[in-house]
Amino acid sequence: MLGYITRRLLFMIPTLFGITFLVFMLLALAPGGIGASLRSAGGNVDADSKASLQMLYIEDRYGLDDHPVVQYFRWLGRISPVKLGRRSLRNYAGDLETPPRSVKDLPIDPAWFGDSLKLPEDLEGEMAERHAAVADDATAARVAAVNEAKALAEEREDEGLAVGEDPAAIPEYKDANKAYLRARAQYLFATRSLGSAIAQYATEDTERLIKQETSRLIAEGVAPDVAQRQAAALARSPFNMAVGASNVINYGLLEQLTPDITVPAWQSVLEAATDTVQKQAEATAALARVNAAYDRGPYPKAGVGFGNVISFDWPDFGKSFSIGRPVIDLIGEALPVTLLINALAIPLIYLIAVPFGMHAAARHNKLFDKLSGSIFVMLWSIPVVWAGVLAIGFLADKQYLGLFPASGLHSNSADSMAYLPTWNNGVFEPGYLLDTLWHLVLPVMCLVYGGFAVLAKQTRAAMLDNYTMDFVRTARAKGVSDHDVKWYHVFRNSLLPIITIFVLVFPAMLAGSVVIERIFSIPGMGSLILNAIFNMDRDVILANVFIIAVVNLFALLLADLLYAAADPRVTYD
Amino acid sequence: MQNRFSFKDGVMLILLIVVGVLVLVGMYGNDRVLTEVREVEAKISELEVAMAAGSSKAGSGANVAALRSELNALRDAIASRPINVYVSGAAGATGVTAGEMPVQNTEHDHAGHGESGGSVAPSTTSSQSDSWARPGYEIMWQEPWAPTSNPRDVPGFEQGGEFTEIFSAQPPRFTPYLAGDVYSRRITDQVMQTLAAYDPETLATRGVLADAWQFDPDGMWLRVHINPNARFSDGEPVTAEDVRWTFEDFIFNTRIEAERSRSTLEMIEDVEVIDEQTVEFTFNKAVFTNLAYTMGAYILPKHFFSKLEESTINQSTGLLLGSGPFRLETLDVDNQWSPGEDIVIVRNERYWGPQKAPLGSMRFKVISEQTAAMVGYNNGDGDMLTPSSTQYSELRSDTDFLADNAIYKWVNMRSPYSFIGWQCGRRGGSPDGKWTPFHDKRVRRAMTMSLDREAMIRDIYAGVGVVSTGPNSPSSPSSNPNISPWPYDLDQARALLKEAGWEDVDGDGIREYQMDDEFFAKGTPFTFQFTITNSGETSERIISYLVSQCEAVGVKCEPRVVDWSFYSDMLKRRDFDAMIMGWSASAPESDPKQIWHNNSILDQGDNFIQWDSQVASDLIDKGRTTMNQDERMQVWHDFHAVIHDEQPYTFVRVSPWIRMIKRDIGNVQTYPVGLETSEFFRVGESTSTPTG
Repeated sequence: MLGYITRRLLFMIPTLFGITFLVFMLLALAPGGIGASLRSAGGNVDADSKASLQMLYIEDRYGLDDHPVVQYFRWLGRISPVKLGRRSLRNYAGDLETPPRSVKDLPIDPAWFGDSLKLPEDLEGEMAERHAAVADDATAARVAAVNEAKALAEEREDEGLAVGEDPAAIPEYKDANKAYLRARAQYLFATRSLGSAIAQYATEDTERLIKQETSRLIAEGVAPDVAQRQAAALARSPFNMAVGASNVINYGLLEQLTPDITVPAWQSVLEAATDTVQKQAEATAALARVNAAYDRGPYPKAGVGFGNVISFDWPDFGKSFSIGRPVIDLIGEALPVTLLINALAIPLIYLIAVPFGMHAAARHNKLFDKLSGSIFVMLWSIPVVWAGVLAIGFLADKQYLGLFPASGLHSNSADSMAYLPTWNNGVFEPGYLLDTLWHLVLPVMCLVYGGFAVLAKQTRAAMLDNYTMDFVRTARAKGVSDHDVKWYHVFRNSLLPIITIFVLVFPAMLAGSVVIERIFSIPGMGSLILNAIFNMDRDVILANVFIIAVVNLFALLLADLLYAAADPRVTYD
Repeated sequence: MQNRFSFKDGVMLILLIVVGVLVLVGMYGNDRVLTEVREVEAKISELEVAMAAGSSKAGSGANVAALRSELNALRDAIASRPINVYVSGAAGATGVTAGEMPVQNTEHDHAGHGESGGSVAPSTTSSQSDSWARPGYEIMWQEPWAPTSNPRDVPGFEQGGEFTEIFSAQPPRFTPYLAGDVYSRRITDQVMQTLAAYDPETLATRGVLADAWQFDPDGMWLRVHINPNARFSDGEPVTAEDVRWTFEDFIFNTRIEAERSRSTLEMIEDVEVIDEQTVEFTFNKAVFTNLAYTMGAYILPKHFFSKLEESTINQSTGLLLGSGPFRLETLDVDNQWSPGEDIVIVRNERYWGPQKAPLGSMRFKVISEQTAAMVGYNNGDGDMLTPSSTQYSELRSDTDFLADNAIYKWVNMRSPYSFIGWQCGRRGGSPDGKWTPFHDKRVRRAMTMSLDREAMIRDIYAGVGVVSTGPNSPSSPSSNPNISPWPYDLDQARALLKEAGWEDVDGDGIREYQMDDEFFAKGTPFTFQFTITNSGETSERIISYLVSQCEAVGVKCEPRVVDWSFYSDMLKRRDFDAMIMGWSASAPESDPKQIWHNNSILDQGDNFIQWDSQVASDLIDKGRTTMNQDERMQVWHDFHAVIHDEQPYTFVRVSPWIRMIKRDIGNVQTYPVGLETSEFFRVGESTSTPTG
């Protein structure tokens, strides 16, 4: 048995790799991208959002400009409980401070520009000086900050909380980190400006070629307007080839070309290139400073492990692009809501469907069987969207019945309610508990009615199978009562399919019900996933896929184990 | 198989019953504590109201001292309660002593500058000393920010009560600068204050926290003097250091994920504290938006936010503490709001401005489904709702509905406009891309003239909207009032198309190109692809209307429906012939550069239609560097005229705001800036004692 379980657990790992890789690649290769969600709010697009600059920052923060496979492995590294290499730190708020990321290489070798770049003699030295570490006693403000950090560390030590190797390094680390992030953003911005300068140059170069070609054709005796048209159709600067569809420059192609330095736009290319090289040097210097501060150990190391080689820590599911909050927090908020609704709905389905199925099997082909069967199937075929809207329109609208609230989980006055129902001067006050249950009636109803058919039919079929078995006939023959036959001989043996269905309910519970949550404005898992898909919010989707996959695999395993428990004939040895 | 009730079963049953009873008893116990705590809390807020009112009257010192000690006793009582309950309003304050107790003059009839400040009140004399200013530059003195309307003069006025607005989408968070959606802004606008804001009626920039400023005529620096009376809702004064901290250590702190604001405010080079009340901004480029963007930033309390780790701020959902007329009901870093709960803000009893808000509290509720939102609104779960176009057209003449509800419809500075954008450059942006027929302004104008925009509004948008002529809301001063929309005239459209070289010679109903040039070969049929995002019925109607109108003038339109993430990528790649979209604004005057300038064609700017007009770009450059408001408006009017002539967009409509508001909400006024919800009041349902 143990061997079987271990085998199953080991098989899960490649399965999970496969699932997440597939989803990751689908997301990475889908047209669009995360930018869409940054701009639109309520169907309209904000005209003042400077979205492309924001996109640049965000793509850099989440590393979206890397190759998808690189990104996938980075994601794996984050969710893996086993971490390799340099360890992250955990700051006092309990959040990770990851090791500073390296600076990207220059998009193009500065040598391509020849001697035209006006760079200072000792660029690196100058930048290193500008980004030299600030000593802990350099300024009064720094001394104060260091003392504060030390005091805080002592306080934490007294409380038995972890502190870093060198708590005095916190102010230096924070300053260095800010300076590095700023330098990095500026370098990024400079790279993009270089790209647009090159695109501009390519356009001007084409114009120059068109002019050349036109005058050549005119000299050959072609009519001026025809010459211009022909030239425009034919002349094309080779640089245009290096400028991609959305002005993404193919630098590899570019490096093979020789620029015409007489085109005026070349000057702005040179300026942009000089700026880029400088900014890159600056970012590199700032990185050295922040690395030094990081290695001093301002905060305690995250997880447990051995030096900077291997360590163990909780999986990090990352952050939502569109909301900017940790995915685990989002799931932590949405999951309880979904679980609450399902915890009410699923027992209800079982309580109603199983007895009906059993009774239908006992009254096989009688009126009860046919009636209950057709009613359940009828319910099953009513679309939830329609039922939900009808329920709101008739049961919730005070112009009609107005029995239940239309949306949400609590009344407006729920904050000031007592928890339990009370009678105040003869007036009944429902209290928080009843109020919540009252709000849950319609969503749970919509979730439940479609589930009867499948379960009742399953139960009925399983019971019918067993009713025709020899042992049942034997039991009947020896005079066992109808009641005992039904419960002890038939029902127990019909449990198997019901167990399978029950186990598969768990993953469905996690995923939530998209339609119902949307109609009743319930902030559960369904809404979360739907919005994430809408916004191409990769980390939220992946975390959900991962968690649902894990739960599914465990549920399947559990189902197999329960088989063995319910049926002595099944063994896995 | 035995089904006898055995001893084991008995023990189990008893155990179960015992557990059940224990749980029930525990629940009752907790319930009692909760009720008691609520009572104490209610008393505290009552006392706070009384104190805020009492202390403003000079000579009530003894009374105040008594109230203070009572308040302290209550706070102690709460602190010693078995469960940990956060008491709203006590943010950061552990005890209340006479010295710390901030006292504000709130007598509104003295317009915030009353002479009887009381002994502990800060000096409120605004003798307009200009020692803080740069000599030789004009000082823009500001009248203190007062509500545009005085709700107390409206018949039926009552203090207190709750106002509930129904949102149709969930704001993911409302921590200032980290949240970016329109809904979170409606919340933060009530709690946070900026240095200056747009006057609701005139749209002029008026000081809020600033009582005076100097703006460099060349646009390179801005010196602001902060009203010495300004207080955050926890009683701490708003100082120049708070302003500097907000910019330098919050927005520009790269460890805080405020990219959205950082990219808009990147023109700020330095923020320098001149004295306690004065701060100076220097800019790295002179653009007219320098003033509005800088003044429009929320000022955060340094004493609250600087104590938090950056990562705590990054992950927060609702850290909100400001100087506005409302404050968050409970502000607790460890137990913040989570999406799904209603957001409640309550009146700031210590509000420093001349008038406290009439409402006791505001509640923001999310109902994302339209039918449910309408039912919820009708059932009394909300007081204000933004209806869908169909709901509006169904209910606007329903007299039963209008007896209890008012419907407001007006165009304001935030009204979005929708347009059809024509690809003016080569499709795909690269020099090898194909031209579209719309590179010719005659064709674009012909397209505009072949669309009856009045009819589109009537039939597609349920009559909601007005035909627009340019990129600015008609209510904005930057819109040129002399421009009227191109008429709907199919004959003229046909003539224009013919003039541009498009004529149907083979009689198949589609025009062919009759010239032969670098744009098209002779005989190319006029077909184009029209891309639209999927928004259900409306997009269906737009498509069918457009296709039939194009047919009428001999043009073939091939519709293509895509989803938004694909759509935005398509815009970035400039890979379309024609598209429909909307732009929204949040200010009376927006910077046209990123949408219209020819520099924005490259560089993933928003000139995705690749409209390359040197005249327009020069006007934009000129307007951006013109600091004088009137001169700049003249430039924008010229710019508007260029756009009208060239028709890179066919402007379809400006959609007005529509709000349904219950009739028991008083003082609802529609302004060019939108609504001033903080001036509403609730009729006849007073829940707290009136103050001041």
